[in-house]
Amino acid sequence: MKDLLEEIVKALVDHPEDVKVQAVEGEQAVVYEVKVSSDDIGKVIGKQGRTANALRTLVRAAASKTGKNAMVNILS
Amino acid sequence: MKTTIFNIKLSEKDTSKIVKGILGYIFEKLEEDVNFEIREKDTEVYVNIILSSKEKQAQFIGKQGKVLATLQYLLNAILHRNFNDDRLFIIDIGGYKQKQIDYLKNLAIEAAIKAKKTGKDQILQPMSAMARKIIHTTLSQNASVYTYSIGKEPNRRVVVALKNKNGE
Repeated sequence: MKDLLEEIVKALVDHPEDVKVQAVEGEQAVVYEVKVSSDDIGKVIGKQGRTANALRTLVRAAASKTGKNAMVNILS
Repeated sequence: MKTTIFNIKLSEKDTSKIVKGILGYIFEKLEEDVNFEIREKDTEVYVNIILSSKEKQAQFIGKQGKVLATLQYLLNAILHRNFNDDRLFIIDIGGYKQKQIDYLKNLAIEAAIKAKKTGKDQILQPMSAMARKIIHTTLSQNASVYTYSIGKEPNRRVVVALKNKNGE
């Protein structure tokens, strides 16, 4: 999931070299921390958070069979 | 500078190859076997994703098609941004959207018949803008009814109303 998220985010930004995704595993949840260039943060969040929410929905759907909750945090 | 995304060269021009490449990459990472049906038109591209089982399809369609809508949104963003192709990419899973469209067309026709039979305007259940558009379009040429919407999102409904004797 981490690689996939990284590839999708790279396709959405101007500075793919600055994209870093880290998975922080908790007992009940996995948190994916997505780091992007400060120039790109708007592109990853999108209008009214639409892109960020799309990433969250996709990650959650993919994680649904693992029984764990999955979250996405976007940082710059 | 990017030269490839999802292992596809940004200079690639074959739409079918690009779409299969991106979605293939996504589902490979999700450890799912997939097949694709792609139909290209001038203004839109229909992409049907076929997964290995009904359960898998349901997982990636999501409640009320939410996950599917997300896939479509992300894929359109990626394609418009990187491949200079501004057509609408309609993403479907196992023909789900096609079935929805058929269902809505039937619903529209049944409401028109009922309005004519009972002499009463028919108010349909609340539905999305996309779904309402299908109802409006289906009945736009109907001789005995016309349609309009009432209420505020997300409870906006279509009314299938009888025309008067002059067909107005």
